[in-house]
Amino acid sequence: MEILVFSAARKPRGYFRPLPRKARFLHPRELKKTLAQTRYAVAEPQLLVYLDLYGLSEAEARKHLRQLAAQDRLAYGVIDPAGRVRDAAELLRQGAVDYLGKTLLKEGLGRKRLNRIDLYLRHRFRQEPAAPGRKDAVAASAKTGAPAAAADWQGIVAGREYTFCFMFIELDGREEMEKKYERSNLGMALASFRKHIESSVGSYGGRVWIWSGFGGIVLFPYDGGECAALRCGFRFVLFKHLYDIEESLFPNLLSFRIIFHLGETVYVENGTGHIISDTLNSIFHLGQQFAKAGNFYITEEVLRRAHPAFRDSFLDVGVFEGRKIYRLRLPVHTGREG
Amino acid sequence: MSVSSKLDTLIARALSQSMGVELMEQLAGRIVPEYNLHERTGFPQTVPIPQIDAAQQITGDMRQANLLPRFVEVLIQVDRHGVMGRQVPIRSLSPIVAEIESLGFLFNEEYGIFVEGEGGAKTKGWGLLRQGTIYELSFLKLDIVNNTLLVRKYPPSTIRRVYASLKQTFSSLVQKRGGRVWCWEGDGGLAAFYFANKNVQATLTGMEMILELTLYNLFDCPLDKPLNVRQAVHTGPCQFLEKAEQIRSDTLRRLELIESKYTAPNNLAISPGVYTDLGTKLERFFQPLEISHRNYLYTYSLGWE
Repeated sequence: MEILVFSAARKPRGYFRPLPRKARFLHPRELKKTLAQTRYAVAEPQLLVYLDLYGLSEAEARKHLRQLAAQDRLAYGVIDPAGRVRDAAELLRQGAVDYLGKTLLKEGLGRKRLNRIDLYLRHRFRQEPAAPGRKDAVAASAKTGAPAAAADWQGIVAGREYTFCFMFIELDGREEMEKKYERSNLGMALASFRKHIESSVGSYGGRVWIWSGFGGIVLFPYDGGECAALRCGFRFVLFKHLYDIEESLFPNLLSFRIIFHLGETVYVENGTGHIISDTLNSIFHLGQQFAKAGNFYITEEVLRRAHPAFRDSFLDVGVFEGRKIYRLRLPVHTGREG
Repeated sequence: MSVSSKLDTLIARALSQSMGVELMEQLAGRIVPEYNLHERTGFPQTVPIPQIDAAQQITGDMRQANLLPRFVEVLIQVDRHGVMGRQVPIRSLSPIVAEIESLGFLFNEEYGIFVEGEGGAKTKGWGLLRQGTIYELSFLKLDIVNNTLLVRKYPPSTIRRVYASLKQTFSSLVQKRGGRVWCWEGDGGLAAFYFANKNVQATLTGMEMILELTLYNLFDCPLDKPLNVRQAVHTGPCQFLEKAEQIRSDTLRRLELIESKYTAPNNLAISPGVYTDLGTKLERFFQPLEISHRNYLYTYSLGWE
């Protein structure tokens, strides 16, 4: 989640230092203009705005709070180091999602608090339709620095940061396969597997972004609402044996790991090796350190946006790098080898 | 099939430039038994028929009987294998094949016949089976479980929508594997498979139908409970009739019995004749079901761990 702080002082920077992502700071006089440009980019709670009341006159504070409350899909909080707000609950009734008073500010804004706000926002915005206009979203995010949301690839410009649904897929038993069949003999089968992935994800709006022989990363543009790309991964698992029988060029039955995660990355077409992205790191770590052969995992971010029909299909398998992970209950084909 | 005059001209020219009248008549006789050129052309028996007249007569007769693709299949066979050990290259064969393929047919190398292509019309007999003739076929039967209860419980518009989705999925899976839906009645359908690996194709279609139905039930089904089907695959001889409901066939009767009596909801049951054709990769997904002493069916179903 991106954090944008409107403050006339320098001190608030210290409150946000413990957070994993840097908050961005603007002067309160920028508030109206920024909100006008940002209002459609926050359909999903990817942006949290704070207004610091320090240094504002009563009239300015009231005006800015009114401006914030007028944005019905905006997640915002109030920083009140001097304890000027007499009724914090009234702020919440008007739409604020957080209030940082004197005591809390001493402790600083931690990741846990941010996660709790995130959970609350997911619940609050769950039933509301997301309708970001593509141009508006890109323009607004360009102004604010928040990641843009795009419904499809037409809205994606190389070099900018977007929210994507990430799919990691990799064949299991790489070393054994290379040892048994030799890499050169696997070339056609590996190419055919990649082609299968490309054509399958294509019908869900996905694109293979990073690939290294036995697997890679697929990106699905995501602009809020249900994470429809998850159905694509589900199909891979459900129909795997038909692929094995009808199309696969591998001499053995295939096994692969799939991970779905949701997050941001700068989209580039070349030179993906130089990208610095928390989401990308996380999904690679999950795929290579956590995932067991033949299994399909999703992160809590994806589960929250999964179609309700999926809710019973995934089992909680613990926490990895501070994030809850869920595993798909695998299909069992009730033949001799079940 | 609507045949262009270009195809007529190409065939007539190919015949007249590639063989004598006697061989032409012999080849026509492979399609139309006891074909007699003198009778057809009106030339007296004692008068030899000019090559071009013979070629045009045969082409015209084949076109009239809607047998031109069959006749071209004979020409392809002759071109490849000759006649009685003698090579008979047929001139301009490629443009003839291309002309037929432009009409929506594809030449099936394995069978040496023209079949309906992807983009063209799709008839129940692939444009190949003859009315009343018996063929060796594989069949897949699908039946909706508790159809009567569903029809009573839900409004007709809901049932129509659900069944139309099911039919659409079934038809597209059948056609994807070269089969044809022979009939679809309110609560299920029957598909036929004729070409190579027909048992494998029918079985894979049934398996894929179970998977697609799983997705439909998860995401799209408007009913309170999942829609369930029973499916069975059986193979054997069967007469081809355009009106499939008029077919009287032991193979179809056996299929009906397997489906209705021995198949559990959301299962696919296949007969032993089908199972033996599956190969090691596919047969592992089936488990034997003893229906009487040493009498087995093989079943597939989908569960979750």
